[in-house]
Amino acid sequence: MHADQKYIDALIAHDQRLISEIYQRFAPGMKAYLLSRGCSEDDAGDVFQEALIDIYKLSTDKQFVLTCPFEAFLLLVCKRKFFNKTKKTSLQVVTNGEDDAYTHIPDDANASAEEHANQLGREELVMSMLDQMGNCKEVILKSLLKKPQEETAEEMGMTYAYFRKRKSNCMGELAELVRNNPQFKSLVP
Amino acid sequence: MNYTLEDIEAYLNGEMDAVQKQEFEQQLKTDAQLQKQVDEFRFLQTTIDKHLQAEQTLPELKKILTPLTQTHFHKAEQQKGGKVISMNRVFAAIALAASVILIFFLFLPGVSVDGYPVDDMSGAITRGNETDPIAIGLAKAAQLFNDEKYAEAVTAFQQLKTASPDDATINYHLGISLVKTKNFTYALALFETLTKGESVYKEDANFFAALSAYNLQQNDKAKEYAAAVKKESRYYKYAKVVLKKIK
Repeated sequence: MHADQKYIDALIAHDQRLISEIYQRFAPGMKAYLLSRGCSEDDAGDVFQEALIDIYKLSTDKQFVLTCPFEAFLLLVCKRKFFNKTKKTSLQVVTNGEDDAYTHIPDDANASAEEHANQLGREELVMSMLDQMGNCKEVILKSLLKKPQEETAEEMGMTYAYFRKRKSNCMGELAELVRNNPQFKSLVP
Repeated sequence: MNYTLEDIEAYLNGEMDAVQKQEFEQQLKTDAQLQKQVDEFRFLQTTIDKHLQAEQTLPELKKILTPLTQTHFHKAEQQKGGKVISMNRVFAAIALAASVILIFFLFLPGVSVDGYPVDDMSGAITRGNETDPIAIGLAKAAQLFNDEKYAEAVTAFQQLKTASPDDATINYHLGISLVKTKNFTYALALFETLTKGESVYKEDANFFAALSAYNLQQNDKAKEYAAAVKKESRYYKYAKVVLKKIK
């Protein structure tokens, strides 16, 4: 576990003091980097905040263990987020130049950060594919609620047996979608 | 035996009886296909469950993140100003000229060295430590500091310092409170320590050390710390004023 795990824990615990420290330590560098790549100041703020939210979602079950500097991980998440933003809009990325401000991050940290970012990417893909599943999404989400499944089945106008079958089939469909997604495949170690 | 998706779910949800579970696990040891399916289902289930949980607590986190994003990425100023209007070249030239004049005046001797900005201190009450006396003390001290009740803040921070003598956040805010109440000797000692540390306050501490030393007429020290304030620092122009005043 890296010493910067404290920042992961801070996000989970909503620790204002350490979250402020995240901004003080990492926002200036990340902002300078994103602006140098053609990102607007507003978008840079969005990218930074969304990256922290993604990291929060990844680690909220307290199972995630950071094995590299937080800065290396955050940088990679911000980079990918910005790249995705540019794909969705007509924004031009400035591609020349090196990551001068981040040459202090060692190579092994980058490898570890990439592993973390890939895990985050895989989970995001699952959630975005689930979003596209219509009724199946509802069945899956409701089945995960902390209430008796019989009650949920009744609310959905299904018998308990059918609800269970439907849920399993929906999970099967989701598994297939995920398995066959080329982007997901590229994120698997 | 061919297991169905329902069986896999029953296994993962702990719904199989002891015999069924044993049989399932027996097959799991040798059936690579089943292993793969179980791993997939487990991954999907934990991912969705985790993200659902996170969504519930996300609004609370956003209350902390959004103001910080606005502060660090200057969104607040743009929002206050309403819609963004693009400037034409003439306006841009006027704005540029105004900036140059502003910078010129800021660097003139006579500009107050005490006009430096100070950020509000974040309250430190965290989920789960609402009853922790240190967290409560810190929140109270932060409130006094943010209300600019610096003399009372000094007392509050000093009490906290007894319990956590090396806490950079406490020392930095105690230092500023001391500067505000003109206790420059103690402030200088605190800021000098911070400049030698690795905390996030290291850079800003250079300016406050310079300011404290300047007020104590320790000009060599003031010069040394003022010169250490980096160009990118928001205290750079104030450090320049300190240097000009010493000359």
